[in-house]
Amino acid sequence: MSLSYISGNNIIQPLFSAQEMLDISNQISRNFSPVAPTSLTSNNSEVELSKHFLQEVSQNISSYYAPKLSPTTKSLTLLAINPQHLSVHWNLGANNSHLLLPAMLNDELILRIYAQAEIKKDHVKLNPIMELPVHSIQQQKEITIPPSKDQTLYSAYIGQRTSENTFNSLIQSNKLHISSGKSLPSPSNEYIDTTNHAILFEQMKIPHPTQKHYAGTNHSGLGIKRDKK
Amino acid sequence: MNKGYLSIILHAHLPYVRHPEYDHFFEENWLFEAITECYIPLIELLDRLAKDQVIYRLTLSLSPTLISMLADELLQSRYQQHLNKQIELAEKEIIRTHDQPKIQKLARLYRRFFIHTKKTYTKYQFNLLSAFKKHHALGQLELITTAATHAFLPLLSLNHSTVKNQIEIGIKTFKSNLGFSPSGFWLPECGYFPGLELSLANAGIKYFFTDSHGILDTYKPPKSGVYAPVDCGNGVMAFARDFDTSQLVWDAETGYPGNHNYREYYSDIGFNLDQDYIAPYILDGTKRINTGIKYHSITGTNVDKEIYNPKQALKTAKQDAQDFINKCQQHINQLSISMDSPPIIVAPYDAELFGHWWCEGPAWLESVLRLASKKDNNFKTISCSDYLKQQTEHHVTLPVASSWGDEGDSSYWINDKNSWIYPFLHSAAEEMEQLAIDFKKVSVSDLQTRALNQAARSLLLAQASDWPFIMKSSTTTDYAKKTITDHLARFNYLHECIRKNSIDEHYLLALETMDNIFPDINYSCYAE
Repeated sequence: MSLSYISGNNIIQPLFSAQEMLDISNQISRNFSPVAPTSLTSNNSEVELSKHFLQEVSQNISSYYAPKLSPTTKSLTLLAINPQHLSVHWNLGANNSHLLLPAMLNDELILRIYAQAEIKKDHVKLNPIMELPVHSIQQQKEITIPPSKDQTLYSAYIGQRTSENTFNSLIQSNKLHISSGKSLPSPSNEYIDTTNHAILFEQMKIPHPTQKHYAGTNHSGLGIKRDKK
Repeated sequence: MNKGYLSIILHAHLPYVRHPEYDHFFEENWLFEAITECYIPLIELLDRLAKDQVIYRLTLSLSPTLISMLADELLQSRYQQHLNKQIELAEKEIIRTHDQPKIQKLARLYRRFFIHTKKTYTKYQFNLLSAFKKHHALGQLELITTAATHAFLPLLSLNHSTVKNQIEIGIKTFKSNLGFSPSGFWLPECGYFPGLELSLANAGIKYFFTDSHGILDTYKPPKSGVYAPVDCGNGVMAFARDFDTSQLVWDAETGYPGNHNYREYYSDIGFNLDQDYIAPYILDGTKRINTGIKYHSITGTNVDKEIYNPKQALKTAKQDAQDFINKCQQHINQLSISMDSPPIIVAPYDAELFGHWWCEGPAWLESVLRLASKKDNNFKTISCSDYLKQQTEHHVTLPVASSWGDEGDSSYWINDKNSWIYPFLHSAAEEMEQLAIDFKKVSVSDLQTRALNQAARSLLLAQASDWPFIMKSSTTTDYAKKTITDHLARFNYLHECIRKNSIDEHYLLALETMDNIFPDINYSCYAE
């Protein structure tokens, strides 16, 4: 905002345009309108903290405590994306890499996925439905699983295959129950090849049969592009 | 004659975007825009319906993060400043558009709208929860809630305590702010997995919602399809969304909000006017953002946008409301022939669609509720609680895992853009459980208790479904990544301090000040 002045007889008379007066009015309204009282106090103290200090704490913590995977703790996790796709994540611990590297190089470190129809779980032997080589200490993969009509219990193991073709398990995943629902295609043997330990992931593209039920191409119940969430 | 029911559910949710460490923070605008464009218009329409003694039923789900922000004094104060700036901008627009009468008329309309909004906000003493409470007390508005930070529960179900506490802390927050326990629960993103009904029952919940396929894809789907709730086997009822009425509002191309007479959301003066002029009202004076002042109608694709005509738009909203009522009537007529009990059409929508994305949405909703209340109508609006009181016989089946997101499954919340968050979230949840178990056995100081409670807050805030959603939708991705890593970092910091018994009170105070949500949290709930 610019102000004009006329000097004369020691009197300074400001000349404001309508726009300038509006600006002043708006500034006063903006800065001095009554608003609800607030203070930056925590739940436990009446101590007021400066914004600068809060920013400093936030930045320090974010710099030094950013999430990272444990170098010592091993984990193997299965999550259900839908009845045909699982997300598998493993972290074998960076500190163990020198021990596992030879097995990884020789394709001896294996991820096995097991499936067991829950209705039969007391009667049948647990068989792997797929295997894939593990080539990295930590990784996340999406895998396609064979369709199953029954509620199925999935689990995964990472272990080392020995020269005698035995499997020494290093780590076991959580157990995952999946109820496929009626919309799945009929089970087909082409997806299940346990005898050859076939790797059955990523190549299979099974059309999603229930798409007709969903509201258009929305992402979260929305039919309208949502730019802020 | 009443042959059936319509249950409209609005789900109001925003992630926790409170940033006291800055004077202004862009993402706080999400809340301010929603208050101006959605929540206050909703309250005003409820006020008008009450004044006119219209008999209606509507369900509103208020997320605990939204409840906390609406009740927060700092955000209330900042909202008033935001509104003052909107009034100021509208006044500037009246001057700027003096030689464009049609646009100036709209600028005057915006000024009146913002001033009226301010009056309503002041009337409810800056806390909109009091308005919702009032309408609940009048018996026409059912209020329910959702998970504490709107976590997508199917992907966090590895840790039982995560699911349990997301549900129970959500309900506690609702109860401490609204004064009663909700009967219904909105599963974030309608994310259901078999077993979730047990946690809901433990928390005293009577019903929840799934998408249509959650019930239709079961091996023994009910004969009544989605037009009656199902009993999950433990007395908790699942209501499924009706696909047809959803499409009428949700669908971007064929739904009502796409009508050419309605206001164009994407034509905002924040993007259209000279930088120097609009600088005080955009981000840091340089980054263009929505100001809420928009002068054009949707008009059509690949054509010049016409000047928005509010009267015509309002007329269209009323016509669309009548169309919606007609379609519901036809649907109810058909359903009532084959069903033994009165059918219920369940129509859930995001509350932020009404007013924010679809400017005329509140007018449409008001017309729908008025039309539905007419005596010659063949259906009534109803809340799910009231429906369950009337109907006591239910088909028993367990819904299948489902969501209302793209593809109807979990894929929008776990994919190549966001799957990296889950190992960290699971690990932090396990560590929180272990902390709670370990500290249950020993005497705990006040400072340790505060640090443990704050760790639980950081964990909950990291679990919000909004962050993986934003990462996938590639919108404000940097903010989403920073927010989730900040909360996880805060959790890691507190975890280490607690384990080493080296809690810095000043740092703890800073974290309590920044993340002041869930003031009554008790970390020991993670040990149960």
